[in-house]
Amino acid sequence: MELYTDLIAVVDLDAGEVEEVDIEEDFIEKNIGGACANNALLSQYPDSVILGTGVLTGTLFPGSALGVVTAKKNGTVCHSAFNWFSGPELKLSGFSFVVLKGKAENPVYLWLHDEIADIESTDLWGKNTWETTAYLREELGENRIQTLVIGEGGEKKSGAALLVNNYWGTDDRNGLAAVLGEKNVKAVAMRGMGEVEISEPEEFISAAEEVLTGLKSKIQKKGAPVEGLEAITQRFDACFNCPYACRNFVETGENEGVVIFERHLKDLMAHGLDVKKAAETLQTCYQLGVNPKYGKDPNALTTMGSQPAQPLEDKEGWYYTLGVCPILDQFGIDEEAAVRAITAGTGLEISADTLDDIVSRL
Amino acid sequence: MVDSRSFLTLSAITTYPKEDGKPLYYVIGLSCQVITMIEIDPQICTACGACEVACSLYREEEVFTTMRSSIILHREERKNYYGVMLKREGEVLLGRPEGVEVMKEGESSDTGGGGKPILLREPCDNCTDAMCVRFCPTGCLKEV
Ligand code: SF4
Ligand code: SF4
Ligand code: SF4
Repeated sequence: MELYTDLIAVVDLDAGEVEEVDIEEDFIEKNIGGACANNALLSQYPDSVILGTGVLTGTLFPGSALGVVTAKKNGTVCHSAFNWFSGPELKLSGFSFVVLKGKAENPVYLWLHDEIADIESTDLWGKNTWETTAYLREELGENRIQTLVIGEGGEKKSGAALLVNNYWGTDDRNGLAAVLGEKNVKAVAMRGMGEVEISEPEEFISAAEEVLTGLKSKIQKKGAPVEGLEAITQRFDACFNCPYACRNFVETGENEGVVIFERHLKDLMAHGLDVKKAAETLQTCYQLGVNPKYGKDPNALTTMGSQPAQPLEDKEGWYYTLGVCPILDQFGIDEEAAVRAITAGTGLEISADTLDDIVSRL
Repeated sequence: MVDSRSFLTLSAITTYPKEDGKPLYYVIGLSCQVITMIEIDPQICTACGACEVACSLYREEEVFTTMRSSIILHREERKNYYGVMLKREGEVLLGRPEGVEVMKEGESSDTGGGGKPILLREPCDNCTDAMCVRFCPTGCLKEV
């Protein structure tokens, strides 16, 4: 199927087995991708955790860094996003979607690469997210490996658990790291050396370039708009193929620091910390895999009770389906060009209305 | 930082007129050929990796991948040290925070690119209207 790598990995954690299921064109035509496709897979495999990529994830469409994790929490279907380079890496590993069903008897990590999904038992339980990522990159032999990893927050099934991508917190607003913890999954490691086909490359390029030109004309800033942050910023970073480098890197020690996610930093400042202290505390939050929304003491956040589900807001469902970062919405993405990119890329006849209908089911 | 190159090319030697097989005088044809090259300003790079996908698409035309590009993103993530490497014929251009440096093949132990190191990549074709430049969102890559 164009714009996707071919497989869904259905991982049976009880049995320790992986079934590889082909992605059918019909599935994409009905669900497009990302959050909508994850929903469909969750109906098929209830009580699973689904990792999914959007239809544009990992392409030349600007901001196409997003992947989505979906699971039920207290009976409600919840979505959280991950970006940086993990969305594209997941897709290019050969698995555009992953279903994690059942529960492993002992802690495991999943290693996705070259259309192979390995379930590996591990003694990483109890290690923080930084130690886990460093270990996996060393063990699996590649610095470009992306990890989705849980820390103490996820292991203890805290309501404030936060899924971490490599070393940095994701927008896991629903604490789905705790659901991975319940399944005894410490990490998912991904390496994407595959490729996705494009139905009509010229048309896709033209739509993507149009969107990029539009965004570039409106993006006049770098970094998160937080008072005092720029003064302590070492450098600005962007996620995969994103024209807005909203991620400030703040040094916290010799040869290390933290990549800021704006909302998390603002949460800590709202709890009374100054910007520098907030950045340092955020690093500890990411190491422990906890969300500072619920407090400023990272250790206390590892054992919090259940928190209410955070539904997708405004146009987020649309972005979560396409696999494009919703933070770019402030600059106005040309939606007509996005639909053109989807049709040119997939070769499917998908109109803006059809897309809206599908997204409205979320 | 500028890395454009002009080449003076000897295009022809013609002899006029000929008497008894010997030339009376020589006309030497010279032409100036400007080769477009890619310039990197690493200070404004944001490590987005768009150039890898764009160049790979230029090479393979119908797929998105990062594996076929002549340009590679290199990142040491925990200290946020990053830059790009461009493979050229016989050399690698390193665009790092310290500046731009040209290394002869084999001079650098830093091979980047994970599963497919820079030295195994195709050298840059010095494209005009280059895909890497068109999709670099920061203007960090330029044709010169
Ligand atoms: S807007 Fe920020 S968070 Fe979103 S993809 Fe771009 S750099 Fe990443
Ligand atoms: S100029 Fe052409 S070959 Fe060279 S890096 Fe750019 S796209 Fe690739
Ligand atoms: S596209 Fe430009 S900004 Fe992005 S990594 Fe390549 S050179 Fe850097």
